[in-house]
Amino acid sequence: MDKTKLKGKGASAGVVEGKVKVVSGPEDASSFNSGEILVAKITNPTMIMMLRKASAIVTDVGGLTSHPAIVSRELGIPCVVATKTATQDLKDGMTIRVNGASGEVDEL
Amino acid sequence: MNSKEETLVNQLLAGLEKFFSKYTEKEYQRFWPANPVQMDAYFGVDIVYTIFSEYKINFEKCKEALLKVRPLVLYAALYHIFPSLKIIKQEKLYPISQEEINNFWVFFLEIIRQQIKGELFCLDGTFQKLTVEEAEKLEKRIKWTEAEDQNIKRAVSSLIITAENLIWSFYFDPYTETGSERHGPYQLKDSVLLVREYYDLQPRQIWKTKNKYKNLTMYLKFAPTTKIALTYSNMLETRDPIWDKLVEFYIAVDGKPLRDLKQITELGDYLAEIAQEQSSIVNKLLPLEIIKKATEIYYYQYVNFFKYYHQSWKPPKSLYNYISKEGLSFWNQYKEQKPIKNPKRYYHKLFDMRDDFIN
Repeated sequence: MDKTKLKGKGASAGVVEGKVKVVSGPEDASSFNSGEILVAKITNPTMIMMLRKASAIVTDVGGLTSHPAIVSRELGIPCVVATKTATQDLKDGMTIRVNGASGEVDEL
Repeated sequence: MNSKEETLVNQLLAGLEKFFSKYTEKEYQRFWPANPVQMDAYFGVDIVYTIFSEYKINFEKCKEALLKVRPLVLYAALYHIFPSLKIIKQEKLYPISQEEINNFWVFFLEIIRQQIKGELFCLDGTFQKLTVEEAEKLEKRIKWTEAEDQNIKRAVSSLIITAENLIWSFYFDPYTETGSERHGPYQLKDSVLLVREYYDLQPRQIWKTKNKYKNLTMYLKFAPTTKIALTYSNMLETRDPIWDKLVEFYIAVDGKPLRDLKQITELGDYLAEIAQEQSSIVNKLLPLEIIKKATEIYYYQYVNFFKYYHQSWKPPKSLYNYISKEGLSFWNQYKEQKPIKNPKRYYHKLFDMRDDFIN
C-alpha cells in the first residue's frame, strides 16, 4: 500500500519524526502523550495542554499568521498548515516525518 | 491637511498596507472564536461615535482621556472601528462631515505619535515604547537570570505560549491588545531586548476567573544577531525560531521574580490549566453570546477613557438591544472573507478615511 504523503504550507521550520495523534478539542488531552505530533483541523487555545507537549503540529487549514503557526514558532517546533486532509489521511499511532520548512508530511 | 499631517497619514497607511498585504482569505481562518469583522460590525459604530462625540465637545479633554489608553489599543482602533465612521456618514446615522472625519483621524494619530518613541506604525519592524537610553537604563537596573541551558529556554518559551493562549481565551484572538503587548526589539550593546507584558490576566469585570495572578512581565535578552520584528498588529515575526537564542531573562509575576526552572514550570502549568478552563468556557458560548462578550471586551479596552469622564466602561443597554435586534445578520454575512484580488489596494482604500470605500 502506498505511504501517505501530504503537502501543505511550512509555517515553522524544523524536521521531526514521531507518532500521530489526531485531536479535536480539550477532551483529547488525557490521551495525548509528550512528543506526539498534534494533528488537527486547526488548533485553538483549548488545546494548550497538548500544544505544550507536542513535538510538531500539522493542520488542515490556516495560514502563516494562524494559531498553530504562531504557537509552533514560539515553541520552536515544526509546523505544517493548510494540508487540507491531514485529519482524514493521518491516523493515530502512524509514524510520520514533518518538514516545517518544505511543508511536506510523509508517512514512514 | 498640512504636510506634517499628510506624512503621518501616509505612515499609517504604509504600516497597515505592509501588514494587510499578506492577509488573504486563508488568513481569515486563523481567528478564534470568530473573525474580527463578525464582531466589530455590531459595536464599531457605537464606540467610535462615543469617542468622536467627546472629541467634538472638547478635544483637549478627549486627548487627555485617550492618552490614558494604551497605544496598541489605539493602533487597533484604526482598523477595527475607524471604518465605521464611513458607515455613519454614508448611512447618515449621526451628523458627521468628511472634514470632521479627517480631523478626528489626524487627532487620533497625533495621540499615538506622542506615546511611541520609535518609528510609528512598525514600518521598521519595531514597536518602541522606550528610547534607546531608557532601554539601556532598564537593562542596567534589572537583575538578570542567565538562560543557562536548553531546559530553561524551553520552559520560558512554553510559559510564553501559555500566557499567549490565556490572553486569547480571555480577550479573543482579535482583541489580545486588551490584556497584553510586546514592545521592542531594542538593540542593546551585546543583545536584543524584547519586552512582553501581560498586564491583565485577571479580568474579573468580564469573566468569572479564579486566576490568582494579575500580571506577568517578561524582559527577554537574545543573542545580538537574533532577527526579531514586530508587525503593525504586534505579532512577532522571526526568520528562525528564537527560543534557543535567549541569553538572559527577567520574569516576574505580580512583581515577584521567577529565577529558576521549577518556578517557571510551575507557573506555566498553573496558567495552562486556567487557559484550558477559560477557553473551554468560550468554546461553549453561542454566537450571540460571543458577539456580546466581544462587545464587552472591546469597551473594556477603553476603561481608562471612560474613567476619565467618570462614566461606566460597560457598553450601553441600547447597544445590547441593537445586537439582539440584528441577531446573526453580520455574523453570517462576514463568516467567510471573499477573495480579494489586490489586498494592498483594497486595505489601503478601506483604512484611508478620506476614501468612501467600505467593501
